[in-house]
Amino acid sequence: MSDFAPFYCCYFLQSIEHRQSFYVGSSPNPVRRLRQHNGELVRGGAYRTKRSGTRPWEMLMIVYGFPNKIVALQFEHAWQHGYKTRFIQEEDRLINKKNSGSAGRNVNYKLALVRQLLNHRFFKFMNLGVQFFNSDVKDIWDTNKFAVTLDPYYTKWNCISISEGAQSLKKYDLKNLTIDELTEIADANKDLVTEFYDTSLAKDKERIEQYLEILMNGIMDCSVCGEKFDYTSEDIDMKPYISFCLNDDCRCVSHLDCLCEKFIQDDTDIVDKSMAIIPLGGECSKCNQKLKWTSLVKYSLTLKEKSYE
Amino acid sequence: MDYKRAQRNLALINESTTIDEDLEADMEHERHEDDEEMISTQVPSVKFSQSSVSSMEDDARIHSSNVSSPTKVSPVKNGKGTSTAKAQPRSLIETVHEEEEIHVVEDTAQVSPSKPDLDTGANEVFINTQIQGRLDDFEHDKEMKGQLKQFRFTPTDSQLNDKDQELPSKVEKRPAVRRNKNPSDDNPAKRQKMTKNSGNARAQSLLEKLSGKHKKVKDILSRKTKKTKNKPAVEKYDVYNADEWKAISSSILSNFPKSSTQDVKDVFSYLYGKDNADDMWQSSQKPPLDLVSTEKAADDESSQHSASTQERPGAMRLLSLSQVMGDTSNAGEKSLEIVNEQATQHSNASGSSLYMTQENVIKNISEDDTPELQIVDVLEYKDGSIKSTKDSAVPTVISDSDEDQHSASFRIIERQYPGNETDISDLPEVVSPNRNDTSVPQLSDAISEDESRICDSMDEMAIVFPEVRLEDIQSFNESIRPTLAPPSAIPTLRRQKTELDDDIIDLTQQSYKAVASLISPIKPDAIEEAPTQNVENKDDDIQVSATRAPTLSSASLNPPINTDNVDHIQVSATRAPTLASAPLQAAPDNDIFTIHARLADHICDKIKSDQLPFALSEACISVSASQQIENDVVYDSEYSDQPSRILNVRCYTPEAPRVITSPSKDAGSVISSQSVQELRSHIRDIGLKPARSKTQMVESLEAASQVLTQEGTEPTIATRRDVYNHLTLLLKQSPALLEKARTFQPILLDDFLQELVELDPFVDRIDESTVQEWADNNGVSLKRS
Repeated sequence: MSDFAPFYCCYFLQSIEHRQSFYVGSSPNPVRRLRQHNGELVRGGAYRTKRSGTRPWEMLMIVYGFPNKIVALQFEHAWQHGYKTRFIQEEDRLINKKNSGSAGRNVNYKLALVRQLLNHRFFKFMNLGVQFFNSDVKDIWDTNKFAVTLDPYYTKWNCISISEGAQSLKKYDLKNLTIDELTEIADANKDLVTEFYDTSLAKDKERIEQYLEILMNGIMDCSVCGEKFDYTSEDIDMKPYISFCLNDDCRCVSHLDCLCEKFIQDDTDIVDKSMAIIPLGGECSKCNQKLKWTSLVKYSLTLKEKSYE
Repeated sequence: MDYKRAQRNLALINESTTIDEDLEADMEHERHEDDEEMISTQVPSVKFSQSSVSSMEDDARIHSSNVSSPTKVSPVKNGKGTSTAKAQPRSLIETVHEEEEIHVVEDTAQVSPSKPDLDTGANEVFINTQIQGRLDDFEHDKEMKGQLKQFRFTPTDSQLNDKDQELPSKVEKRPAVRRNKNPSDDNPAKRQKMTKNSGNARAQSLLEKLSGKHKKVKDILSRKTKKTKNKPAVEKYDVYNADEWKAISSSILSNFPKSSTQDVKDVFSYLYGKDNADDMWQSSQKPPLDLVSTEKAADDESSQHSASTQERPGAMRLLSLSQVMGDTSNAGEKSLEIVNEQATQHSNASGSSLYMTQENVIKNISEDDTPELQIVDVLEYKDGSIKSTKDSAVPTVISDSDEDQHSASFRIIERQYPGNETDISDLPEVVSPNRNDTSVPQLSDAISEDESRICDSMDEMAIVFPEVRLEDIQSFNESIRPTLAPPSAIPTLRRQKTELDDDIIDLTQQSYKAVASLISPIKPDAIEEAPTQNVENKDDDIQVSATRAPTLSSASLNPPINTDNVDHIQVSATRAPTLASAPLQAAPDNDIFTIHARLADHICDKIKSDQLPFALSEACISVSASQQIENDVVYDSEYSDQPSRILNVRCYTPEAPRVITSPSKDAGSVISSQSVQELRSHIRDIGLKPARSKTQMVESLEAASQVLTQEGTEPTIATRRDVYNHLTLLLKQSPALLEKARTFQPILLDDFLQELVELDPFVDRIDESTVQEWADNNGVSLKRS
């Protein structure tokens, strides 16, 4: 298994019935996790979500795109401990105390924390995406009660999106929800999460298959440096990390290092290019498709792993 | 407490109605006949403790009667065998009242009168059972106190009585037992002791509950109690009390023999030395030792003679500051020397100052008959040479120290400036008082017009120059007469030269290297004879005032005249020439002293006419007042309107090291000059590992400045950004690490640091938090485990 997780996200739950109950977690499979929280799956779950009156839980939003579990856990911890995380400057912290009462137990604060964490350079490199499953929450995100300005990178790269069919709970009487309503809401939410998750995985799987098929052609040239590589060879030196353009029509292949250097040089936001290690992304040399660096790395690692199989 | 117990017993007895009268009668009868049998019925087979009251026979009888007694015995209530006998509550009370010493009489007064039928044996038995323990404790305490008494100062009878009265109450209270609520027994000391003990017990129980370690808790508490016990009581005396100490001190004083004051002084001086006996001020006021010894011998005729008086201490000289500075402006300037301590004392007694000024001399001469003054002309100035003269009237002082023990006269020595022929070391070291019948007219006889003046450097006409040959100075002095002539009445004071003069440093006679080096920074060796000048033999004659700071910089006033790479120093004419901050580029072999000075015109004329032991350099400039540079120092107004010339006196200054500033040294010097706090904060700012010692901090920072600066540039003080860049560069040097970082593969922090250290050992000085921060800023995912 490659070191780059195919899917890893941090999720934000809210009890459908008990509107003041929230939960932040991380999982490589948000659907499975949601089912565990709601008690559908016997094994797993969390103690806090087992409390009577809180189930079922609704997954309001997820932050996905983490390369590995460690980074996801770092984000989760920072999201849960916004008053003391190192990823938020002390002067920018909205809440400085642990026991701040109801001030920290609301959607506005949790979403503001997400904004602040996404603004940090470390998570910026991860090319994270935000997916909403509840339109009300998306509205709150847009409202931005705490006025935390998100880095324009996310807007530029379309990282913030909402699932189609994201429901709003305004039509329900949340104080007097029936079991049917609860079930309905929970199921709808689960469906949205499932759809998103399955879609992401399917897309990645499809691309990998395509790339492998291309690599079966044998010797190929790097579009940047021109050096040859051959993923069909037994020689390890002939199998460097390579990347494909995500544009289905392009499929431009190049060395990962070459692409990295190119992206760094092309990035106008980087002042000292000699000191840059990881680019945020770049454009394909052929089709000028915007390519996220983490996506390229994910596929590259997967391809190399597959080549050894 | 016993009263209460008795009451309880009474209540129990009254409650029971099962015992019929026959039984009571029988019991009474039996008790009359056999006390032990009755007791056995009342008390179960409990072995009584040994006490003064009980006896073996009683115990045996009690034990035997247990078997035969048919009477039911009520259960024992407490461990001490308190009987709950129903038959004789009153007897019980009575026995308690009779036998127990602890109980107060008041309690027992309430008890009903005892039955006359009771035998003493029953009472004795009852006492054994009830209060045996208490009596044992009391006896134990008594024994302990008796043993301790041998160490105590016997108090008075009243005190004893008080203590005896206290004892019962103390014995009465046992630790860890219920308190006695009787107010008569209430004692603050007892209460405190009880609370302490109960507190300890409570603490112990609480600790045991919490920790569960009973033995450990016990050990802790026992250790604590031992410590408190070992501490001596503040109020008590260990062995002796105040009265005892008084007695001891009085006995010591009576036994030790008294000693005379002189003995004490002798011993003190033997141990510590005479000189240290006084403080510096007193020592400075002492006369020469010969004088002291002769005076003391005269005074101590009647007193015991000690060995210390025979010693001859060193000479003490007192000179004014001007004399020390070597003010040679006036001819015949003489210095006063304090000779006689007695004179000072007399002067003190008369209310005058300690110093032997002219007034004091005259005063003392006129007032004091006993200490007759004998003035000695030490030196007589004649024809440009100073010769030492001997005063025939005054005998040699040192050799006559024994003869002059009775002489109270002293000598006031006048010194002249030294010449070539005389040396200060030739002057007599010690001057002792002479009791010759020298009268005042001797003073007047010795007065000469030329030598009658006693001036100092405060005279207006005194112009202080670097001291050169005396001949020149003397000639100058002849030419310039001071306006203020001293009164003729002032005698000329001369001093006889003796053998011991070699050891005396007389600054008025001649300057010495020690003086020159002390006063003047100019090395006497470096002073060169100016070829065109009349200055000769300058080697030891340089004397510069050390009381004034260097004046004027060299280049600011006049352009430096470079003659043979000589330092040119410019000084004010009104002040003694001193070294200024001249560019230190003198050649080592150049010993010419050149001074730039603004001089009055008439001074320059004198120099030209060789009246002064200086010479004007060829480049001297005559500057009129109008041509003065604005930045020039304003000199004395006396000379402001007069044209000034430049006086060149060549001097030697040691070659100063060239200051070569290197960039690394700059940063290093900056780093090393910082305080520890600054270094620590600097290290924290950069992100290096904290260091404990300053040297380690400096090393870290210097290493950082050297490593982190770019090649080809000057090392500067490092910043955190430089550290980050350095780490980035190192990462790029390792392809494996770079690949991992770019592919977001988590890297173990330790492995990461290890690899970087292999590339550059400086990474070892970087703090882990800094590395983590760098990783966060660059997207490198690091994991700790």
